[in-house]
Amino acid sequence: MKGIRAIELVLMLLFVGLSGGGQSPIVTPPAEVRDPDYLHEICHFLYLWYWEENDIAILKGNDRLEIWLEVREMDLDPGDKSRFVAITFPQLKLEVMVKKSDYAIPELGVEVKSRGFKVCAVRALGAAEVVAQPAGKVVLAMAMTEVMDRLFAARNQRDFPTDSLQRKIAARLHKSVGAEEWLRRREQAEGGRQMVYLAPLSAVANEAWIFWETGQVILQVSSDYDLDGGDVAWMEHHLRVHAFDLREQVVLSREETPGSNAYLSRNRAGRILYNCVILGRREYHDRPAEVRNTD
Amino acid sequence: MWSAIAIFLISIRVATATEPFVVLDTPSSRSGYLASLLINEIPFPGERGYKSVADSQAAALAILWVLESRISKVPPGYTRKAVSGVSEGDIITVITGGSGKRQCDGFFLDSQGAPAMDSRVGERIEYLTKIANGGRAPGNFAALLIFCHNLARGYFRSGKPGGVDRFEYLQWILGVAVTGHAYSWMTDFERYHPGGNFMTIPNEHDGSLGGNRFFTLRKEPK
Repeated sequence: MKGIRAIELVLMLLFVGLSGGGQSPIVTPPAEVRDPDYLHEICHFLYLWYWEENDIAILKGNDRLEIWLEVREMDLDPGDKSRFVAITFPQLKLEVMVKKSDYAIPELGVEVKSRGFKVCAVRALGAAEVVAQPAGKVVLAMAMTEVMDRLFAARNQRDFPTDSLQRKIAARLHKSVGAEEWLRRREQAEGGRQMVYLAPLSAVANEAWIFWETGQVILQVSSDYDLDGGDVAWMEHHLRVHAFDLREQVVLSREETPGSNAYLSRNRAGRILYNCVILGRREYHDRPAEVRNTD
Repeated sequence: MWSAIAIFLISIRVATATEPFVVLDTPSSRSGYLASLLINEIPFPGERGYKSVADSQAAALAILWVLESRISKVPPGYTRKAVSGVSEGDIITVITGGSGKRQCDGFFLDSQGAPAMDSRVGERIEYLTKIANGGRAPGNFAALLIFCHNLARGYFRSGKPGGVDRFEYLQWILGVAVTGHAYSWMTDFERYHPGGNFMTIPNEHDGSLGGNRFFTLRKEPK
């Protein structure tokens, strides 16, 4: 059944062509990035975290979702075999960079080796960057009705990490907020009980979003390792944390704080909260490193 | 023979314990505070956004140039407050921001008005330093930490960043006249620019460094 489904998807993925303009050689992107299921996962990730109403309106006005793929050569450390591919959605003027990590960290005696390509950057493109004949890119297209149907069906899809990974997140959360601050806000909570929401994890991004409701803090945890890749991925170092205090670091518009990188727009914060509270999983923590009860 | 080996091993251990590869200035010092920001803003091996030592070092230098440009390269038509959020003060003030508005995530003025940083920043730096000093020879972690440390010290010694501003001569971005230099950076995961007259520096101008996106300004403010 799964095989038949895959064949159907391949048929829906229209290979439009290579567009090199005869100027630069085109490196064919890896098959796993051209896989329709993978591209649908990327769309789902964007649907959850980036796309807005206007984007859907633009997409609905087209028969096909156009996608450009380009292998990007990077100057990496000696021995680093990581690969990068830029996935462009020209109709939305949006570029997603994905990376398949493959390098060693001698100081830790470990290897960072992803099972697949994971999102490592997202950026808006200028109109002039979305030209009609993209040099050096492979151009694909997917049937828009299929894309929209799958996004609609998956809009409430929820995948969560294993219990052991959640405990690691809780422990890291405690460290990142700071023991003193945690304790102060913990005391404010009734019975010292801390409520935490964990947003669904994406298969194409090594990041987890957490809403610590009691403390009114949003945390973003990210890594170059696969978050579900085993114990080594959850060593303290690899869980880089960004924290946003909702009481202090949310503005209606970034125009209020131009140039600053310390604030979330209310729109962005609202989306994160929706993904954490509505789509996510609620947990109660008595002690930060322990999960007492899971809804 | 065994005693000789034992002495040799002990001597290595002692050497490692007494002569760390990396010793950073305390964050309570000006150079230590600046170095903490630079370290905090760049990815290390294993962290998302990491590409190479050279890329992370380039990002640290570019961030230092953003801070310096906010002080000494305010373009015609703009005020210092418009580009940095503060009207006066040195680079530390540019980092912490003023009037209750932060400029750099994790760095702020505490209730006494003193420069402070989130505890998670200090914890991460402490952990990175531990890794850097844990091996038998300095590796990539040490290279990155020492680079930021020297960049910060050099800045306070000479009064300017110790390297070239790669964005200094930018004149046009996608058909729009810009001022040159960079005046802001954000994690490379934001769809929108940081407000005001900031213009995204695209990849063709090396606008993405160390997991961060850099921004310059429109030559003609809106």
